[in-house]
Amino acid sequence: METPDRIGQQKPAVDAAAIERLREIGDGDVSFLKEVFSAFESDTTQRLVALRTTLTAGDFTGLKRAAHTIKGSALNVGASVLAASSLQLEQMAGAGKSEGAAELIGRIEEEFKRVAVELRAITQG
Amino acid sequence: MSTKAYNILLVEDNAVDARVITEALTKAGEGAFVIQRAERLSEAMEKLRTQAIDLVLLDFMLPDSEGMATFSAVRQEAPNVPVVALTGVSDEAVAIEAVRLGAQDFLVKGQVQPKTLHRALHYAIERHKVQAAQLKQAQSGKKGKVIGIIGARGGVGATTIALNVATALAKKHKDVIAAEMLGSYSAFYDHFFYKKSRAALSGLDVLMKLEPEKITSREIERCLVKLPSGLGLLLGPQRAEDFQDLDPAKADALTRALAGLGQYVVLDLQSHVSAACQTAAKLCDFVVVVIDRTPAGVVAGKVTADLLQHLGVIPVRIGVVVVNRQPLPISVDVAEVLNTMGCQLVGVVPTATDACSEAQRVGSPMVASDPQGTASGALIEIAERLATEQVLGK
Repeated sequence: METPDRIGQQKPAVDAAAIERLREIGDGDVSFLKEVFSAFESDTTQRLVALRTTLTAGDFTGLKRAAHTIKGSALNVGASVLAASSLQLEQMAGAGKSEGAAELIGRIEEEFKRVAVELRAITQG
Repeated sequence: MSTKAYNILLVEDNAVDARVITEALTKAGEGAFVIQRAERLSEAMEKLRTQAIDLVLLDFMLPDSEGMATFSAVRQEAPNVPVVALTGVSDEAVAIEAVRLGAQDFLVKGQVQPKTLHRALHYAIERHKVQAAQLKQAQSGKKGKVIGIIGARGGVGATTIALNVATALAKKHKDVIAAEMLGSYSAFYDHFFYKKSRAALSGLDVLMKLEPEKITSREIERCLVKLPSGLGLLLGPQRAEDFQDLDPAKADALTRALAGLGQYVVLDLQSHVSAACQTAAKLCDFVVVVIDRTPAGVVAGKVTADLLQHLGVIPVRIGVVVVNRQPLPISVDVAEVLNTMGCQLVGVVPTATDACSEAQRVGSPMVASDPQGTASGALIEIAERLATEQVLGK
């Protein structure tokens, strides 16, 4: 099986223990894992768009909610770096701060791509 | 296991969380749960209005509502439906607040295991049924509620909790009694009287000399020490010559007679759980296990909860109070405590070294000597929670 370690020098974007937990919940059912990953990918893709539009509109409540949802989804699939960055954005939005938000969203987008690649490798492996 | 499937309303806007929780419930439940989902509060309210829901599994952060407002709206719409809160890892404070305001339990998303989830929902539903029955009984006004307080290990402050809970109850209710279930040295006496008098006060020393059938409400009433607050104290012996093991048959008679005497009876049970205390615990409407917030405290709590269940005290009648005796570096998550012990949270008492010292100095429980303190606030809430239908009895 492809291991996430092969993707560059960085730590894996997805925590193996979280995936193991999902496998246990699904009782080893791969279609369940696929469903969860697919829900994660499609929902997070939408929320990433929302991050940009809410930030541009100065809608901090919307920004906070979108970041909160990404964080929750990320934790389910063990994407801890993505979750941590989303939490940071959620807190910034909650405090009504926008300095550095665009850069942070950029990092979140990049991390999401990394997570998506690893998740696909898991179900295809 | 029940043959009827429970109708669970999962209120969760996050698609990933919803999918994982549904799977966990389906896999562990084996047909015990029928799950339907609402993504918004408005949708949840509509379902609560039009369907028979057995339990709401509620995320507080929804597109149309946030935080405690979400919980309050659901409670208002369906006050008789149990709610289990779903929270994020960083929202323990909100979750505890929800439990304080009547949520049956909380679960941390991303950490939920099928077994834990299954058990939490079953307990929440069963507890709710017990509460409804208790409410009915309370309305018919038959007998007092007996609350046992037991330290998971010595020195956690169970006696302090017992006396503060009883004192807080006595402020609001008539006929509240705090009783020690031990045949040797009265800790109650130490708390209230050590500076005031060294004269021994009668209590269990007299009652223990009677045969079980002679231990009646009337006899107990004669041995109670009434405080100005209205609280009645049944003190353990204070003189060495009166010390003896409390006979279980006498403990049984004592507990039954106390229940006929007080509206609320708070029993201080010994942490080493003597045979007498085991007998008394079985007769309690609710038993609170007091633990300190350390890994070892949690383990001791689990053993005590297991022992109580072994004695036949059903899990929905066991709760835990977590005491932060000192700000420790090895603190434990409340969620972990509940998960390990498998029982409900009654309250968390913050560190209060100064208030404790002052209470000892003036010979009066913290809730009376320092009612505005944060620890007192927590203790008063615990008393209210034990008194109301939120935590329950027969």
